[in-house]
Amino acid sequence: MTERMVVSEEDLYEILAFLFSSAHLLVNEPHLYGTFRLIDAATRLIGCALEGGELEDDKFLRQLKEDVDSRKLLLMTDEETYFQLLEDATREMAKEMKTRAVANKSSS
Amino acid sequence: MDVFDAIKGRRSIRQFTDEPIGKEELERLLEAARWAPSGGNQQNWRFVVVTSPPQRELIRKFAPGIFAMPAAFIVICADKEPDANPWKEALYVADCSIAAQNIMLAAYEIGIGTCVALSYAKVAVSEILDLPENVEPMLVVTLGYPAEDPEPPPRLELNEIAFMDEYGKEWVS
Repeated sequence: MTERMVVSEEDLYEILAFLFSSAHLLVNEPHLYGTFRLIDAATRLIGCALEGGELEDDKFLRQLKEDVDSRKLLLMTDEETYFQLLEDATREMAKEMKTRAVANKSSS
Repeated sequence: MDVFDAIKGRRSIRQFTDEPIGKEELERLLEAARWAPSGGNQQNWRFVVVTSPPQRELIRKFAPGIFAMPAAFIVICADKEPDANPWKEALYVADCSIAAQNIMLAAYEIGIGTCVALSYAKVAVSEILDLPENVEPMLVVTLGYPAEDPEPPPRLELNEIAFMDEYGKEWVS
């Protein structure tokens, strides 16, 4: 949990292009797109971490990415389910980080 | 294919197979665009077809609204007059949009999936495609053989969007 994780130069540039473009576009796009760009960026980042990196075997992140990717486009057709996804993903992150914090504390 | 079947059957496709699109098919889509109507027959649209992997990759990176790599992009641009007035500006949008629909329907007929995107950084796409200053990328159409078969999204009922003689006066089917 405490090792320094580094994304590849290629991945870094790709994510930066995505973030800068999103920031530029969101000046005029519907405000809900902002939530979408954030979770999309999050799953892109998870994808970089899972692809051949040290986090390749991280089941939690893999599952989270699958869950978010499979439901994120509901923004366009089913806003309620999409909002639920945002809540679920945040709750799952909190649960996971709490579990890891407890594990770290007991191992130190 | 019946035109109405194409209109109702076309979906926005966001996942594509790796199969490339042939030159003949791409040219057919450009022909469909070329025969779209335009205000005053001005035909101020310009079409940049992008198939090379490095160019596709670059455009995708600056297009947050494009989720998977398509086999090709058609970037529909407007060749704008300097200091175009609001009427002209509206015309560029309308003409390019109509051309985009022609492309998407013609693509559907030959089994190619499409999605029209607006969420791309215009400044970046202009730079990547080396567009002249007066040429603006208005719409990006992604093209590829579909790797998904999405359900049709809901549509408002006709009596919610269409009126008879006066706005608000109910359309009765």
